[in-house]
Amino acid sequence: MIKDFFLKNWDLFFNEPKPLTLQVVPISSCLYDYGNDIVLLFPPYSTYPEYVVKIARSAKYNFKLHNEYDALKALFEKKELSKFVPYPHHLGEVSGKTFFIQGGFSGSNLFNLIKEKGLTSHTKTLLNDAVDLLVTINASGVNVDESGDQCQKREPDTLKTYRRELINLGIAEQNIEIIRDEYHSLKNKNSYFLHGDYWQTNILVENRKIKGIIDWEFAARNASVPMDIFWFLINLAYCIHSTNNNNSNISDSFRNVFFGEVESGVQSLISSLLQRYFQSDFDPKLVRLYLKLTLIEMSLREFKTYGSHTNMDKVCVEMLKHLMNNSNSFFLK
Amino acid sequence: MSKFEFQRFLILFWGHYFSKANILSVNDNGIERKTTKLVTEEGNAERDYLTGLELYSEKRFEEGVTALIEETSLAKSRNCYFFTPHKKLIPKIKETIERLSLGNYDLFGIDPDYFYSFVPLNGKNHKAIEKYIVGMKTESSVKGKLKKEFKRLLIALGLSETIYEGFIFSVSGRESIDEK
Repeated sequence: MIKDFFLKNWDLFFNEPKPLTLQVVPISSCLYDYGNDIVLLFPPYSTYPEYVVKIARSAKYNFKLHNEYDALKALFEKKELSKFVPYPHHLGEVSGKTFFIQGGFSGSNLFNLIKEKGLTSHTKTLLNDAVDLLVTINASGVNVDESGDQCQKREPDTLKTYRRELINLGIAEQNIEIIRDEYHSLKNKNSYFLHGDYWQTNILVENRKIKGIIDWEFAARNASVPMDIFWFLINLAYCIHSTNNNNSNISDSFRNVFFGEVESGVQSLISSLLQRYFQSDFDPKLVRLYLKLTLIEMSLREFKTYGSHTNMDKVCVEMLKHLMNNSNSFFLK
Repeated sequence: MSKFEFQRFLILFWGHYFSKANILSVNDNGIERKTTKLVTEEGNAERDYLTGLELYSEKRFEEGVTALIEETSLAKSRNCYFFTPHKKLIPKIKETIERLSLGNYDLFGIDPDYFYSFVPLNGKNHKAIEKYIVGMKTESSVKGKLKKEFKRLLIALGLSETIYEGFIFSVSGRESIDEK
C-alpha cells in the first residue's frame, strides 16, 4: 500500500529519521487530467501533514512538478525565505508519472480566515505581512545589469507569441499594439521571481503569523511584470466581495470593487497594499499597464500550460476587456 | 463513489506495485467479478495482483467473504481491500480480517465534499486528522459553516462515521510462504 511505499523508501526520500508508522490521506484536488493527486502524510501524533506528496495525474503534465521543485530548490537557498516555502524533499517517478514530496505547514489558509472573520486588524496585519513577503519573493530573481545586453528591455513574450490567440479571444489587435508600445516605453529594468498564483488560498497562517506559501507550480524566474501583487489584489477583492454577495464570481467582484462606487473600505485597503508593495506612491498609468499585462497572462495561462482554455482563462478575459473599456477606477485616476 | 474516482484510488494506493486488481463486486443480485488494470513498473504481471471486495449488499456479506477467501488463496500476495457504503458492516469486516489473519489494516472514510478525500479512521491521531480535513474546506454560507462545526462536534464525540459516504479497509497482507 502507498504508506508502505513511503516507509520502505524513507531513507531515499528524506533526510530525517523514519517514523514508526504514517497516516496517509489521499485527496483529489480537482477532477481534470492536468491536476495532481495529493497525499498528505501525517507522522504519529502529528496534527498537520508534515509532508505533502503531489503526483501528476498524467505524464503529460510532469513538467509542472519539475517546475515547482526547481523553484523551491532556488528559494530555499535564500535565508529570509526558507522558512516560508515548502522544503523540497524528493522528486521521483513511478510508472512514468512524476511525484514530488515537499514539506507541509500547519495552519489554515488566509482566504478562509478572511471569509470567516472579515477585515479585522488581525487579518489586515496578515495581508500586510503577505505583501511584505511577496516583495522579498519577487526580488529574489535576477536583477539585470545596467550595462550590456541584459539592459535591453524585454517585452513580455506573450504579446508576441500569442498575438493570434489574444485576437481570437476578442482583444483588438490595435489594443495589443498599444500595450506593446506602452511596455517598450517603460524605463523599468526589473526582473521578478514570481510565485505565479499568489492568492490568499495559497498563504497559510496560524497564530497571527504567516506560516508558509504553497503551490509553486506556476513559479517563474526572470519575469518582466510583477503579476503576483495584482493577482493577489484581484483575489482579495473577490474574497471580500463574495463574502457579502454569495453569488458573485471573481469577475463580478473585480468590476464592483475596482470600478464600482461601493466597497470604499476595500478600495482604500487595496490602494494601501499596492503602495506597500511598491514602497511608494504608485504611478496609475504604470499600474494600469501592469494590470493589463497580468490579466493577459492569466487569460492565457491555462491555454499555454494545458493546450486549451478553461473557465479561469475566460473569466480573466472578461476582466481584461472590462479594464480596457473602462478607465474609471479608484486607483487608475 | 463514481467508477472514475475508484479507479484513481486503486492506482494511487497500489499502482506503484500491482499490475492489476481482481475485484469482487457484491450486490443484491449476486457477485460480479471484474479485473481492472493498474499501472506498474515493478510488479510482475503474472503473479502480482490486488484483490478487492466491494460490498454493496449487506445480506450477501458472508457470500462475499467466501469469494474473497477463494480469490486470495489463489493470489501470491494477500494485499486486498474491502469497500462498503454501509457503516453497519464495519465491525463485521474488522472481525473478518482478524479472524482470517489477513494482515494489518487501515480504515478510511470516503469524504464526498469538495476535497474528495480518504480520511483515516483508525490510528492514534485520526481525530486530529479528521478535524484537519474538515478545516480545509472553504465554507462561506451560514449553512456551510454550521455544517462544518457540526462535523467537528461529531468527530470530537467519536461519531464521525456518519460524515462519510463509504468505507475502505486497506489490508497489508501477509506474503505467502512461496514468496520467500
